[in-house]
Amino acid sequence: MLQNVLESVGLDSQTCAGLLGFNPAVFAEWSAGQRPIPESVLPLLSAVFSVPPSVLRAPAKAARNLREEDITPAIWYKFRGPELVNADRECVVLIRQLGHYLNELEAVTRNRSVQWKTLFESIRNSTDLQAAPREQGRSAARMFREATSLSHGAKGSGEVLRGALRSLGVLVFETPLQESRLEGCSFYVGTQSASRPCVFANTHHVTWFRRNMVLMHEVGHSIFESALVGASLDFLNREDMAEPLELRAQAFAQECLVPKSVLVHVAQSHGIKWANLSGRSLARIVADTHVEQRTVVAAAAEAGLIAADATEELKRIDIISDLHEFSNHALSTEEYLELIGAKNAHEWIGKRSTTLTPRPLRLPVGYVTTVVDAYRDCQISLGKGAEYLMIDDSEFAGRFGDIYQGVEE
Amino acid sequence: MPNPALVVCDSDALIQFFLANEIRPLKQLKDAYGVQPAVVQEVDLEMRWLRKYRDRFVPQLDKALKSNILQILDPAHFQSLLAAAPVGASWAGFQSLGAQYEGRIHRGEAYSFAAAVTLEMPALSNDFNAIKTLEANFLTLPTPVPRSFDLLAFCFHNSLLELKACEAMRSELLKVGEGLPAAFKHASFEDGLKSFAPRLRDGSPTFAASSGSYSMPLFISKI
Repeated sequence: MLQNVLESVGLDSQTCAGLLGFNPAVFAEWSAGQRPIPESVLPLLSAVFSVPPSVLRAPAKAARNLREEDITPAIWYKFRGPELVNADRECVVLIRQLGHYLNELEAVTRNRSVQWKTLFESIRNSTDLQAAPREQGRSAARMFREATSLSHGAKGSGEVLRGALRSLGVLVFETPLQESRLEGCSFYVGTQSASRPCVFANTHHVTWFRRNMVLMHEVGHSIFESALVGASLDFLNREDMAEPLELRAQAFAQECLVPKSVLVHVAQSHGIKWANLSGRSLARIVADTHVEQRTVVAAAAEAGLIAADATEELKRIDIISDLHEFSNHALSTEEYLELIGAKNAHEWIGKRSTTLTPRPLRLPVGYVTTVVDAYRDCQISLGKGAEYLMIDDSEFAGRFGDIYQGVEE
Repeated sequence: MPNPALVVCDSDALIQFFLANEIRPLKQLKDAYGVQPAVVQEVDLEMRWLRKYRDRFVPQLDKALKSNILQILDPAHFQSLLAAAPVGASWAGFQSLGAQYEGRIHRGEAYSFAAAVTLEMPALSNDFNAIKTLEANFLTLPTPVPRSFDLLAFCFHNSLLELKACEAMRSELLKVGEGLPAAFKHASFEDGLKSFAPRLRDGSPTFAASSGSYSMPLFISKI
């Protein structure tokens, strides 16, 4: 049955074996039904492919009577589309594996957050789904801001939003996917009983300011429809922004990150007059609101702070050099690493890169911290910590030390 | 007490024997003492693909399995051991315990330890970190847990393996950067033995898995 599942999701057994760390020959035998899949492996495969363990263990005979539509998980309907490349599908497999690991980790640390469930449900229930999509998005965003730390202080929330999402139990994943056209996506990870939303942003050639919007746009999708449609995908330079679901997600992201109160507060704190906005003052607003220029301009126009006919010109003003002056977030990864120095660069990026995956991934800071804390608290072994971070045992010991070094065996 | 029917071998211990291409200690354990070296399915799977060594050990593993020096503790084999196992032992219980351990330690050692605990058999493992982790979380450990060097020292002391072969294994493992017990890190095999407290000894069996710790010596006698 595994073979049918792999075919339905557009992955081959050799690739999956490599991604999940199994012998390709053994994995091929599992796929062909020539070797039973050990019970202990079923939860991982089930979580990654979004198929119940019973389906994976079903005899090959049972597969003959099933149509592809009967076994293809909703998420993979989306990810096998023609716009996606193998890198996208492989990344999704690894993220879903990470989701499984996170559930395991939270079970042993007894620190599981499912706040997203009640919050998302409450937002859905309180939103008038017959209202205009943009109004639905704005209304949902107001509830989201109120329920989280994003509304504190009427200031930019780009620096706290990842932590806020994490504390809700949302898996936030940002990594460069050079070959991909995907800018962001959202889907649920984990088995049904322990699922959680995951929002992904491709960091390749996407600024931090833009990424904040991408992440919140994906949160918008997660709240309303990702669980129902399997996954929401957003491509670079997308042209489907007039679609109701996209309008709602975009309005949600914008209202979450730059509501009128934030724009007004930021401008006031710098003595900026909206009526005669210069490139430098616009750069200051972008730096402090933590969202990209075109979103700031669009939000300001919608809030009535600038004239609608001035928006196109303001979106075109070159603010890059001023923005570099005001915010380190405007630096490219290379520029930022140079600024913080080699030692800190290693701390910031080197300690969260995977080495055992076919393509290196940059793991979320919060996830790495959770793993390392669990290890230092003796809740997991060094080997398990390495497995969770997708690195070798010796690499883990090198990065984080061996807490039992010197203890006599 | 009779010798234990089997010893559940973890990957890291098997890797050391395979790296040194020296599986006579496992064979002697079975032939001379009637203790069958066994691996859980998870270790069989792990040995077939290790991130560091990839499929390097597959030929050695298959050879050891084919010659019955090693046996897989699959459901049928496991069921055959239940008659002599503690009351309440079951495959389902073993799987459940393995899953519980797997949240904290690698899958291979998690299921190896779970099988050994369920069947009250010793486990052969070098993973001190995993042992300390389970211990820190008040999870039951197999008693005892001899290391690959305990078996090597045992074979040497009982003239089942010559000194040259033991030293060759130590040297090979040192060369490839494998972890060794402290006693052998900076001393030859012969010198290291002087400060090494072996967990496997020839003598009247006093093995009682329900008591003691992972580091207590296991006494076994020739059949």
